[in-house]
Amino acid sequence: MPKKPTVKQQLKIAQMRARLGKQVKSFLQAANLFLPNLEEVDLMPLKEEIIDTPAEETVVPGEFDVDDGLDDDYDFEEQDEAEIPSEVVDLPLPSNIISVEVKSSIKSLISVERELRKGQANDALEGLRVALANKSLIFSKDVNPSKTTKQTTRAWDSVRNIQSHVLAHARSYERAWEALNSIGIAEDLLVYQKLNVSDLKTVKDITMAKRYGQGSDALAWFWRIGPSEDSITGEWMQECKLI
Amino acid sequence: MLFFIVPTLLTKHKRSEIGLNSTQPAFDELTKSCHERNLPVDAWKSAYCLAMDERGEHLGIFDVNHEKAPTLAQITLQLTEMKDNSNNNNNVNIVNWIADGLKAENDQCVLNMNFI
Repeated sequence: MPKKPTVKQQLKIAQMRARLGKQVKSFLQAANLFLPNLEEVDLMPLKEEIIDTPAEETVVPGEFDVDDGLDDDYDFEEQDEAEIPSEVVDLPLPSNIISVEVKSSIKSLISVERELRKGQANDALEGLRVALANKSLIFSKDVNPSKTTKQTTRAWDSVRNIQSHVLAHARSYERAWEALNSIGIAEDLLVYQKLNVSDLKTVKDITMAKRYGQGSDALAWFWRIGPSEDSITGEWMQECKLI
Repeated sequence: MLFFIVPTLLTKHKRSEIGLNSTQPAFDELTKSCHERNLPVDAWKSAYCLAMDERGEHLGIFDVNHEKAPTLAQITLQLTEMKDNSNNNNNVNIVNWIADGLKAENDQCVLNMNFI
């Protein structure tokens, strides 16, 4: 968001905030059905997300559009001045609960959230892989060959746009990982590792194929994960092994 | 117009001939080793011929046998169906409630990103 946002940008933020307000409100109302009464100290405060692009590849990310699938019924309810803004409300998801007593009484909720967080992590990693590959491709096909100012400007616009997607997916994964770290088991953390800033580097195998030292370069861990061997129908892989 | 295509096609033909000649020995060796190990080479060949003739779903023989990790939507659906079978409406609501929470959390992040 620029320092002096345009009216259109301000309107967009207000619409997003109104929609989010509704979502949070209905979530908090439903929470009373499933959770015991919670105090503020029982919940983990909202963490500031710190993952960012590696310093050597810093570009200002473009504006990330909110999911188009959301309802378009912008209903501007007047927000109470004293009310906490919906984007900083601590959501009482099972993984955000720190009270040991409460946690022991909501084991079924925890198991459901654990499974859903794995799905969130899978989605985020898939999105991250696609976005990083896309970014590398833009560097290779648009940025590097651009010769005029117009081409360069457009190419870097694309880079900034894709960069916002990289960060959004990385942060989504980070949230899923934090939750799995809180409610998951050790096996989950073997598959889903912590994401480092260095993992968000562009894929040099696309931008600089056949480069010096390529043999010793290794891709980030999330390029090599997939379903466990048990879940793959081993027939074809067996054929490969035999060859 | 066709006049310009001829040299391009000739070049492509020449390249493909070079490629075929260089890979043929390795391919023959591979086939030989497959026969030695009693692998279903004939079944692969007939599947290839069928794919070439019929196309469509039969082309799946060329797909990499790679299974993607389950997505959030797939897991949500799976859990909903599982809990649905337990005949307890409350269980289905739990899945929906937590899925809504994850969505709200994600939108909080998107909004915060737009404020930066």
